[in-house]
Amino acid sequence: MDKKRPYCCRIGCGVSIKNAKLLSEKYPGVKIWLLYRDMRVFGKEEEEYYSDVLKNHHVTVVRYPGEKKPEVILDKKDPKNGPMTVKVYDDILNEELTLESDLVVLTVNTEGEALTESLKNMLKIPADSGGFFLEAHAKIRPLDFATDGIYLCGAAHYPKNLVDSIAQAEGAASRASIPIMQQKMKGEGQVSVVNQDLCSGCKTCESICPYSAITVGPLKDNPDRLVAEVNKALCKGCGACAGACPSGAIEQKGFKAKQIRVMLDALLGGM
Amino acid sequence: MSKKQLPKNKKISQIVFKKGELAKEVEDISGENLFGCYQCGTCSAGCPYVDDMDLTPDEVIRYIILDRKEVLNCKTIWLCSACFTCAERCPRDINITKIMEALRQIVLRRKIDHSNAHKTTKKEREKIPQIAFVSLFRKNIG
Amino acid sequence: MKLLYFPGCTLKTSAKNLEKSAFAVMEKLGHELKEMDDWVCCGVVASLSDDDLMRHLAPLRSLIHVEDQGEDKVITLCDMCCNTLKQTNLRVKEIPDDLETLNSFMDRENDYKGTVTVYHFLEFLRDEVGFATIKKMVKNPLSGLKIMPYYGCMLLRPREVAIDDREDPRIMSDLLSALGAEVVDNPFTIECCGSYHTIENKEIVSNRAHRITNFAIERDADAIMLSCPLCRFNLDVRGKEAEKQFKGYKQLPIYYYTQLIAIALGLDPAVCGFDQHAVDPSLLLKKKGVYTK
Repeated sequence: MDKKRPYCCRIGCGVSIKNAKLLSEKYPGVKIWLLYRDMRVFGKEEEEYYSDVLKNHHVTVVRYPGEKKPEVILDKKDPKNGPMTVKVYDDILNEELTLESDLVVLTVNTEGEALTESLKNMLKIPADSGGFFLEAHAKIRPLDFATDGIYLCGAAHYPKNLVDSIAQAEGAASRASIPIMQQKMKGEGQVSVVNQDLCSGCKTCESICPYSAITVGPLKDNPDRLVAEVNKALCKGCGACAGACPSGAIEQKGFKAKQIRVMLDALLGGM
Repeated sequence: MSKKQLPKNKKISQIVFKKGELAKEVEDISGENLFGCYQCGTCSAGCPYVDDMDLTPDEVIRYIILDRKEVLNCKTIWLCSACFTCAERCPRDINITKIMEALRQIVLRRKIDHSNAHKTTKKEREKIPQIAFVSLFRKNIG
Repeated sequence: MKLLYFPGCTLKTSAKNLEKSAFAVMEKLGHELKEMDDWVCCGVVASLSDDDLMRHLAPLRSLIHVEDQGEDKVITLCDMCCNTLKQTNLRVKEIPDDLETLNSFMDRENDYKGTVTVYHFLEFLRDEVGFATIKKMVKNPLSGLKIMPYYGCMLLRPREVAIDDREDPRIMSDLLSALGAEVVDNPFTIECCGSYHTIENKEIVSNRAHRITNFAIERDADAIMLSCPLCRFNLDVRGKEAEKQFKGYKQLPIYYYTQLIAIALGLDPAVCGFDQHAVDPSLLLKKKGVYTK
């Protein structure tokens, strides 16, 4: 975890310890050093596993401070295949240790998928700076997006181990199966409606809609004109489009301009 | 920062470990596997004598893990009074008291004593409770 | 109840007053302490090496002699003896092979059968007598006295032989409340007093005595109550020596818990042997009007 990737990948510590154990089992008696800034084993029973590996395989750990990362120095005569020297600063002894090593194994943090940027724009779903997609709500809707019909799971959401990825995947699949099984869905009543005669095709509503419910496309009878159309299934009735439309072409059912005027008159009562 | 300067002692630098490694001999005598230590520092935080020590208890554990024989020269192991505070608070359940005793035993069993009790004045000897003497002999004399 | 008592070396010399006051208290409570035959020095402190059985011989011998006298309970007044005997007792009970080795080594002694339980006098007072009973018998409550209980190491560590909670013990405060005194809590109540360093590193001990007592003074305590003879020496004698080192510092008087019980039960203060202390504890009692009934 550092400034560039300010998150925990949840699997790195476990992977390093597993590697240490495998090395020790394959080459008994080999000296293994585990260098870390900090260690947090995440999964079920991993704490016991960690303890067991350290004690039974005599793995020597060195904790270094975050600002003083270890340095790997290659052999001058044979940089490709020669032995390496690793310099690491021991945080407890406040001393730099120099370790000779034949094999250096790096465990780096995970990153979001490179395709995230393009997917994000295509599906109009949000993602964070690390390249991980953002769910609709962390507690109430962890597998959905604000936009209906798209579901989220696995490391696309956040770095996680296999066990959690599988559990999430099953959840996302279940969520997806709901509209499929129902074959019908109940829509929101207070949806927006476009008066296509007034619409100028400026695309303000399309860009403002948080639910990707509006598409601007050519009119059937007159392909030269671009008009907006609301997908009633996706519309959640937030009214942002109605507020933004410069031509007053979109109105929300239940909150039409006339209805709001009547409410205002009643509220301000003969002023 | 450079290595801490510990006093040198010829007899101690000549010590040869039975199993080749300091950590293994400590484990044999104390029965404690100290590789499980995750450097939290709780032992040093609770130790009553830490201000007078050259190496703090968590540093002593590091020295053993890094197989540094010079840890047998430090003041720490002789300042330890086996009050068990560290052992009771260690979150990894490592009995550091026994580890300190193991380090003392490694020195004492090679007939290198660490006490000037014979220099105590008669007056003091009459005043001080015997339990102090008996525990001193136990701790610092082979 | 008549109970077998293991004194240990110090109770016969620099802690004679602890023994005398304990006996007086027992008599008042209607019980009796009988010194056991053939006790030997317990060889403090308990062996800390796993591979060394020699150091268990001395404590085991005394336990064997308790069995020889037909008893299964033995009470000690000395914290260090209690800790050592209990630890050896535990070791031989947990590892029967070790017990066999030790028994066969001591071929002139009977075999230890593992039937003895070692108790500290405080445990006996709390569990068998009950502080409520003691409270009812208090004739001369220690009102107006603000006392800090001090446990030291031996009563509470290691956890297998602890007589109370290791980090937040209540036994001494409960006793003090039963006697009518005000308890002063202190974070240093379970800190090590310096133990055997008092022989070769006196300054460490006087520093510790100063630190521990200072915390008590800051919280308005008048005195310190403890149970271990070595703690008493370190805090009392070395603490008084610290007065030369730290300007304006005055060592607080130190009491054994048995002395305070004796005073509270209205016994003759002579059983307390206050003259054995460096800082005279009778002065405070006289000042607060609780010296005698």
